[in-house]
Amino acid sequence: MFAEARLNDGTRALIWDLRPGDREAVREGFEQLSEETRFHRFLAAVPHLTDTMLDHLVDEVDGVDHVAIALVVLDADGTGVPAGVARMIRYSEQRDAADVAVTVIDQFQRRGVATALLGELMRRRPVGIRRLVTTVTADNAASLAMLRRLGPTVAEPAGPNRLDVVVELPSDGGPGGEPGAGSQVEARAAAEDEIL
Amino acid sequence: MASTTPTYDDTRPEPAVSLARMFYDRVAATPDREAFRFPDGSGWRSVTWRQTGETVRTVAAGLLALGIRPEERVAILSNTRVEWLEADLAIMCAGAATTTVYPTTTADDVAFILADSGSRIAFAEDDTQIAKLRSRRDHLPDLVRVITFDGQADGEWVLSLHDLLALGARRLVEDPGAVDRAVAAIGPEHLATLIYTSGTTGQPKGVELPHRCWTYIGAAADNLGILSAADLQFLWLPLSHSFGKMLEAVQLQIGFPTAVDGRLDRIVENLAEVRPTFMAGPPRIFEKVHAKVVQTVQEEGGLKRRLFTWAFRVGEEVAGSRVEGRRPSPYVRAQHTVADRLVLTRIRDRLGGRIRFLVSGSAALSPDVARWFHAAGLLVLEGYGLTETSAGTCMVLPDDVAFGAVGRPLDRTEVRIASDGEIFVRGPGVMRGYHHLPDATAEVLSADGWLATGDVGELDQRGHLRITDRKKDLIKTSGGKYIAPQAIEIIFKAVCPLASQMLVHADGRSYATALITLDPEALTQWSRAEGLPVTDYSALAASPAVHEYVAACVAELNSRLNRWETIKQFRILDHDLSVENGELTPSMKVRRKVIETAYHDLLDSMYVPA
Repeated sequence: MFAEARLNDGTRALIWDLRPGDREAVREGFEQLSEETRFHRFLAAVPHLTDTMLDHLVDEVDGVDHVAIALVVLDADGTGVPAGVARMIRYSEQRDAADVAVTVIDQFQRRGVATALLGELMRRRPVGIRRLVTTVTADNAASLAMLRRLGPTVAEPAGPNRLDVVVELPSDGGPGGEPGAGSQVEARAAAEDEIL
Repeated sequence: MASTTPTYDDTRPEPAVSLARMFYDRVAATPDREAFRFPDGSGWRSVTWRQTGETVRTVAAGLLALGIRPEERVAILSNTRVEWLEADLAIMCAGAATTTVYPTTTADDVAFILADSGSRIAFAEDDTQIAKLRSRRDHLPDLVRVITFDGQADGEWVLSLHDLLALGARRLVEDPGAVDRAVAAIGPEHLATLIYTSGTTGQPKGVELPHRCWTYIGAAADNLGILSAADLQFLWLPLSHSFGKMLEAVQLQIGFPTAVDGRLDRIVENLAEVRPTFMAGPPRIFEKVHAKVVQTVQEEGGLKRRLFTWAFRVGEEVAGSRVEGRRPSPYVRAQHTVADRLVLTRIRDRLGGRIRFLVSGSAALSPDVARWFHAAGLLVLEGYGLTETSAGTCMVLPDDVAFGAVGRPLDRTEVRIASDGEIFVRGPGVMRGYHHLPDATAEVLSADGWLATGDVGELDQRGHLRITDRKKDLIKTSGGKYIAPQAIEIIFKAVCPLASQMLVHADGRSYATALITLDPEALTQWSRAEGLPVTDYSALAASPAVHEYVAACVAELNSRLNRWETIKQFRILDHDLSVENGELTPSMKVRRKVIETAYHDLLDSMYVPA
């Protein structure tokens, strides 16, 4: 399934489902991230994605409990350049709650990639998910702002520079309307669009 | 000799425009009073302000003779000693700025700091410090001269302090007004000090503190009214840290003498010899005294232990009454007299017997330790500040004691709490910015002067600030040193192919330790290559062969770290962190709090005294 998106500066982009064949692209994309971005993604120092991690992050995507999508920026001649990945994963012990993670390659940050990904992710979210439950660094104001836009949010301190965040999702399928292939995603976020 | 009941005097200079001017004013105001006391052979030697003034002026002239110009950087790589203070004051009086470097900083970090600061001259304590500079000389094109206190001079690149004094004396003969003119030319916004602090990632940042920061801190500390010229300070704190450096400004303003000796193994003897009326230190020093006394008493057991427990209970009751402004009952007072004579006075005697109060800063002090000292009749006043605020923001005062709080803001310093709890500070003590890093500066310092501290806290009903959390991924040890776990974990993963996760732990502890997990696939592969019979993760993780391998990796990691960052102990967990155990979120984010709670006992086991 594809969706079209447009970044803040009008750049065209495509969003599609992550597939097992994307394993190497995900590995390579991760290598392009700054230390800071990697840290915000995993809340730990992760220099490379290991095979064990890729098994989980790519091969275990099933579209049912684990939805993952990628955004590809299209340049003038239509060539796609991967810019970011977003995923939502259901908690096994809380069937109506999911974790969320968005990663944008540094050079594409602050251009609305994360907002576009998150909007599309909300449309494709696993059936029955009513809450997002995740952890972010307390200094990551952009992520918090993005989460708050999704619904009523409660953030509790979880140790130094960590916040456990719970977002109650609206029942109408989230901002941006009904799910659907090819729907136009408006990237509304301004400079704060970042990493989660 | 100072008395135990200091009185105020009127020798304090008006607030000066620069730290150099402040020093000149101090020398003029009390030329014949004792300025510094320092170890000399088996005893102590004192110098007056006049003598210090002469030394400082000559060293400053030497720096001018070497071509140093206004606001150019001169580094000091040395332990705390009187020469550190003289060199710093000379740098100030030459109109230059001091780059402070810890003597324990690695050669690579020294090279970075000196290059980044553009330091042109470096004071290097001894041959160890000179060796670091020599080994990186190719990377230090701006560094034209090294001056050593105790090391071997070569007459060219490395001069002795004596050589510099000779240069200075000659310059003063040729141009007697050279240093006076340099001092007169310094304005409050001119750069005085560059102190490097760690960030969560990447290289350390140079905090630019202009002269007004230090003259402000001196005046604000004076306004607290808790110190006078009749006090005697014992100073051992690293002067490369803003907390130590701040005390220099306070001394110039108020004019008390300071006994200086940075040797940690001499603190106990020095306290007995110097008998100071106040001393500042990080929580670690107070924890050490507390732990040592408690442990000794525990070991002795029997009657002594009972007596000790009783005496502290009485001491706490009396101290508690005082905080609440109540007078203890005659019975309690009588008990206290006995408890004090038999036990409590001995604790005070360990610190020389004349301490009026102690100052704790640079990290959070456990309220229990503070109460214990208070019960013994020793008040520990806690302060709060960052390098970015010249170490002085808030301070608890003797007549407004609070444990677990860091007090009220100093005069002319404003503190506000943002909606997310972050503490913002504004005032004359706030830095000019990070050295040639406008973006990093803009991230923390707004145009209207508010500094985002990265600490989270609240103001209580009495207006005391309490620090409750942090917004930065930096860990602070009880020694007051920052550790950036992320940077350490990155190096570890680079040197240890078996590593999956490393969780560096040091918050409020005296040293850093780590929990380590291994990558199951890498571990299996390694065990096959090593011909080990087992392949099960938990069995391998517990095996001596794996432990030895990981220990070698940790040793390699430690060799690349500054001493205070090194991992002193580690434990390998019996499984890799997993989503199933709740240690990772489903998207594999590490849940640090869950892990630290689950392995609380394991972490504690790495802090049991050997």
